Amino acid sequence: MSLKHIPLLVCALAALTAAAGAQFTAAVIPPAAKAKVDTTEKKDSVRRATVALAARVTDMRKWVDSAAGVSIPGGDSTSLASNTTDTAGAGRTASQVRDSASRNRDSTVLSRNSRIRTDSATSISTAEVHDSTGLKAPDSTAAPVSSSSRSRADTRRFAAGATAPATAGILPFLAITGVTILIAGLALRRT
Amino acid sequence: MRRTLGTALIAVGALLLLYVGYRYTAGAYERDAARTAWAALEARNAVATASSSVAAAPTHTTYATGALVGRLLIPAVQLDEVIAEGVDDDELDAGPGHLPGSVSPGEPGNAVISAHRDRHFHSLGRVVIGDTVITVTRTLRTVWVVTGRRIVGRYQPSLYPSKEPELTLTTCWPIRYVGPAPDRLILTAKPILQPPRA
Repeated sequence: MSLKHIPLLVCALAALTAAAGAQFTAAVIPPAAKAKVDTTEKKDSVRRATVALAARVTDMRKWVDSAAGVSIPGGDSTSLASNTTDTAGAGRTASQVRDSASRNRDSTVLSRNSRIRTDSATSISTAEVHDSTGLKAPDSTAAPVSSSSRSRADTRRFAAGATAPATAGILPFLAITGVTILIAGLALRRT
Repeated sequence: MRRTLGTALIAVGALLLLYVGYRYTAGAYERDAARTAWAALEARNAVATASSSVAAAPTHTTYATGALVGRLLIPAVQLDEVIAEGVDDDELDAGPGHLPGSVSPGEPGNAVISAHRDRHFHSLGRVVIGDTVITVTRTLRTVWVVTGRRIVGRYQPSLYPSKEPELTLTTCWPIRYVGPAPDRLILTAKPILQPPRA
């Protein structure tokens, strides 16, 4: 090997090192752990975005179609929502989108969104709260019982005008009587 | 003979005092139990309310006898009691009782609360017009101001329903009367502030 081959050899070694470094490594670096995201919140935010986007897209399409003189049938907005639902899951691969399970999930979301969108804004927020928390509103009648015949009778009696309940306890009277008897007994025993 | 009679009287007097003491002790125990139960109920209610922003506001709530209705506070006389449903002896032992048939405190209508004058409402006689009363139920916290105070006969009908929220507190009168009191003290209050519970 002559001196003129040394630069070539250095270049070849450098190239090999780069290629080898791509294939082999001294330390195995674990893949970066996925940040834990609250799936409920994520789904909820995606759903909110879906509703907003669906409403926007529907309005935009309505506007475009009305400008073009095309009438939209009532069910069209649902299909638009379906499309926007799919775009909301843009992070998924094509195979995942084709997955039947995810389609079922999408159809559930779709049906919810279509129901939500036909309602007022108030019901949207209501539905979101119920969907995101999975909890019902506090049941105010958990301990209280429903109206019974007894309570109806009480109400009728009260409606006719009731007297104040007898809250005069007999205990003070009994206490004073007991003390008096006790003192009398002690007095009798001493005499 | 005298000694025997004296011993018998002492025994009877002691039994009476023991019974009275037992009733007061049982009442105090039931009162504490009611307060604990109400605190637990409030905690659960707070969690449920925090979990959901949609609170159902009942228009007319009915309770089972003995169920906890709410809490009654009169700062002027340091009164702080838990209200149970019913005005029989069992309920009045534990605390002020809510008259069945009247509305829950804070709801539209007249809410009637009664208690024994020798126990939970022994300080009610010192409440005057203008004093503040606070009621807390599961769904409503209402601040009332005493607007009326009157004394009626034992058999005189004095409690009527109303359309507007109203609170009526009753107890026997005179407060320090020994035996069945001949009159009733009636305090009426109107709401001055009714924010929804957070």
